[in-house]
Amino acid sequence: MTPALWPIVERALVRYLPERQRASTLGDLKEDYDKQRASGGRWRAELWLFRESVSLVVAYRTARHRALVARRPRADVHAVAGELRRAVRSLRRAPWYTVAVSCVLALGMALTLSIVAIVDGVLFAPVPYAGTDRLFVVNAGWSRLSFERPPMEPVSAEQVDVWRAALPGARFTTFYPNAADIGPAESAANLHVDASFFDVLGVRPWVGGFGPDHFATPTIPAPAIAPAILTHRFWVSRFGADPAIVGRTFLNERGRGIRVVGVLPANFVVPDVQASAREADWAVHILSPFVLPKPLDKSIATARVFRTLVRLPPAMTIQEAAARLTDASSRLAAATPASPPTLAVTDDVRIRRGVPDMVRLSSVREALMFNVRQMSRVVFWATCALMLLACLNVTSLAVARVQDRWRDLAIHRSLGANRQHLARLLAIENFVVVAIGTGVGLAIARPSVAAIAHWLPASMSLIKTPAIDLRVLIFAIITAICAVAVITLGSIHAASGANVRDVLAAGGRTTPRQRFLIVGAQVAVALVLTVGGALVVGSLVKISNVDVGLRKEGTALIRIFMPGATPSAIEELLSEVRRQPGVLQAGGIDRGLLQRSSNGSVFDRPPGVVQGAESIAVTTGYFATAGLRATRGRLPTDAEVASGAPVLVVSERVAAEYWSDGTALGQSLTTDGRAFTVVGIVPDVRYVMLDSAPTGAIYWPMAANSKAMLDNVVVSLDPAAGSLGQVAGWMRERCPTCRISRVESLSDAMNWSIRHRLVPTWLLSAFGIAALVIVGVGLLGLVAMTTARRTREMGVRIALGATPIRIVRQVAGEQTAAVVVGLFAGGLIAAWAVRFVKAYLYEISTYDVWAWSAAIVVLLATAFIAALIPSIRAGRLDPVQALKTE
Amino acid sequence: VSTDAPLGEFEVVVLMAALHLGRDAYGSAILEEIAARTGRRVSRGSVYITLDRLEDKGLLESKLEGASPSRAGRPKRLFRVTAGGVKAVRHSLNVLARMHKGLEPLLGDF
Repeated sequence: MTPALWPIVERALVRYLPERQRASTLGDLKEDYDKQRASGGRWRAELWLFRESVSLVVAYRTARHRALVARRPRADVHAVAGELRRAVRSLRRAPWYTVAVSCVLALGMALTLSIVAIVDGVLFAPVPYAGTDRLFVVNAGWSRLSFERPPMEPVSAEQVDVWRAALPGARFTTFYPNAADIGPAESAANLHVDASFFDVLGVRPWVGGFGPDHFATPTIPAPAIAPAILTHRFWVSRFGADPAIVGRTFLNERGRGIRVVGVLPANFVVPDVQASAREADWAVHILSPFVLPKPLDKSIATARVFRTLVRLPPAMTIQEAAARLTDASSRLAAATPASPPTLAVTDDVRIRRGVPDMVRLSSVREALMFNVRQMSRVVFWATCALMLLACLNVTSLAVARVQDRWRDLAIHRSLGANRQHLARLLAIENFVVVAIGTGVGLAIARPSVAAIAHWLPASMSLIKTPAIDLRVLIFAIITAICAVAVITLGSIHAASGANVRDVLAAGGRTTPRQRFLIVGAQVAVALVLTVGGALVVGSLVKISNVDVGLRKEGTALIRIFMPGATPSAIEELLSEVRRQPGVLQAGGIDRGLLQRSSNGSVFDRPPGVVQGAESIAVTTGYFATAGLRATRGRLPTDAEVASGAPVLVVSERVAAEYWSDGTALGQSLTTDGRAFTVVGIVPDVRYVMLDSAPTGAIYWPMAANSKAMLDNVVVSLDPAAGSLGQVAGWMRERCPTCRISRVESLSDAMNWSIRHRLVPTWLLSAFGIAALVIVGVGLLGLVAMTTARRTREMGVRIALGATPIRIVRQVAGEQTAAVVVGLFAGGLIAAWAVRFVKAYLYEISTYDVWAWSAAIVVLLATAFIAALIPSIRAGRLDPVQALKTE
Repeated sequence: VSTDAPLGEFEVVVLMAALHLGRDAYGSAILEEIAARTGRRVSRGSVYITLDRLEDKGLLESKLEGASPSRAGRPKRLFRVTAGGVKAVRHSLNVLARMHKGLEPLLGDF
């Protein structure tokens, strides 16, 4: 009987078995198959045959595949090396193309990598704590206020105890920022942490650490010498990475200071956005332990200084934890008496002075990156748009080059090269230029990252230090691969029609539709970036023209903390300051100037008035130093200010809002039951920051308030006679117990107050400029290559009587439609995209006519000039020479 | 192909099966010999691939002969272990013996 499976198996195995073994193997199989049939029956034999033949097919296929794989790499390496050499030779023959493309890619890459190096620390890098999915920042808030700002509202020890009791399975850690002296007249930003800090975060100091004895005794009052763990950055920058740092002690002149007990890892991030914002290098310098005394004094228990993180147990959801914490908080708030109703502050301020009654848990990344996430996203996407523009641009040049080499490619195809071969040829050539661009871009990115990092706003906390590291290199490689893919796809599309017949029939004419699309897309992307840049630059121009309300010339600020100083001691210090060389005037106020902080007012508001104001205690000489003159009434005399007479000066805004009938002069305001009479009105001043509306100010004598503390000394200087540094140095000597923190001119303080705007402005305007450069270079190169290819055609036209102007008009005009369509499409995209830069605009609409017009005009001018230069060259062609051209 | 490369365990088994079979060593017979002596079923594919590899290494030689109707007129591929093959098997067994020495209380005699 004829076996059922055998013929099928035989046919199949003939295909798979190597010829040398085929006959003998089939013979063996047939012999054994017959034995199987004789001994086990037909079906068993069929199954056996199937199994054996599968085994043979699998074994021989695997062996063949292994042999191929073992042989392939050497062959491929040789082939790729040969193609690389050919690509380099081909690019050397087209130096302008190579330089233009490499420059565009290098510019795009440098900007992209610089930005990625920075925003990586906000958007992508992992938070360097263990198990961040269970670690949350406890944000306290008030149910009557919106929950947006600020994150990590400081809370009291009493509040933290209530939270601990509400979530018995969770682990809390609390900490608060402070400063510690580390030498004579030298202090460092310090974060006081509790005993569970490192356990809750899941990190360990790099060297050393706190032991149980560091938390054995209360730290209130503070010990003379506090144990301290240095941040890695501070250890390197301040102590030169001294390997013997642990155990060393650093003291001020009064014998108080720190003893170093450890160093934090390099990637440690302080989990406190408020503390980060205090220091220009976005990190506190040292950590030291705190232990509260027991029983806790009421004034300490209710002081709101602590920030809190919680690690939830695995079974507990965030919603459940937040609900239980909110419940505990609202019970504490209900049991705490409200703020005194007589306190004349805005409703918001009064609510904020009460105990928080709401809790929201947010991820550590969300809390740390609160200030900068939106900006980082905008900048990142703008960077991606710029890189896309660079790729489109290079694609247009690569397409033009492919069309230049149409004849070469057609010959390749006629000699048997298929699409795959052509794609490989083009991809390798594009790889070479992208590699050059990426290499140069990386070289430029290094210093540019350092420059951008230097100018980052102090409030910008980052998870990692901006640097061209492995993560950025990986991003660069991915971007480069994408760039090669985009450019090669465009080139392949252009090259796919290359065949001998077309070349002979049409002489390798361009494909206008593709060129139209690429030019249009470039113009569209460039317009989006240029409009963004124009809007933020317009905002900055507006801000720089803002009048702060104080005299700028020669005015400087010295921030000072005089513990326990009486008003008379303050006046005495100021009178001595006025005698220093170069000091023309000097005065003091009890608040920060342009430091983005608001104190509220201590005076009662007239009935029915809802607007708030700032009360500012001033010393003698302040009005003269600040250049404030009375617009109505008079300024208080030095005698009145020095004696604390019950007189007030209000700003125009307060005068208008408190007494809208214009009767401010002679009116009185009260604080703590004392009435003060308004004697004068002065212009408004932007005390909080330059880019926020002036707050209404109520000036009153510092001497009238026994609790007033001098915060800023304002001096008017003659730079020819003395310097600010000398004055500050003298003050440090004169008052060793004083802490002098910021010494700067008013102009610097103004710039500092808008520093958060400078980075997005510079970056977005840099993107706009880079976009213009890229579009300019791209159009220039494209038109130049197109005209070069059509030299013969131009020659015929000129020979037939076309004037140079007509040639110029024709060549340049060919781009007009693409540019116009690009502008239209870009306008539509930009109209949608401008919402993302709205947060960085100051008194300017997202649809500001001037900014939009400027962007469109500059872009049109760039495109026009770029198209005009090669067109003029075409118009100057000598027809005889042109007709000789191949 | 180098004959100095150490033999794998399965290669040793195939060579020894061929040695046992002597002049009658061909694919199916070697398969059966291994199954009978080791008590384990081995895949036909792996035996044939191993035979090819050992021949490439010069440890086996083969010749075609003995076509018969029971084999649908196809010849047998008879294998013979070369001197190099014998040496390689001996070397592998020596290595095993040296490794075994001193482990008799644990593993028993070889």
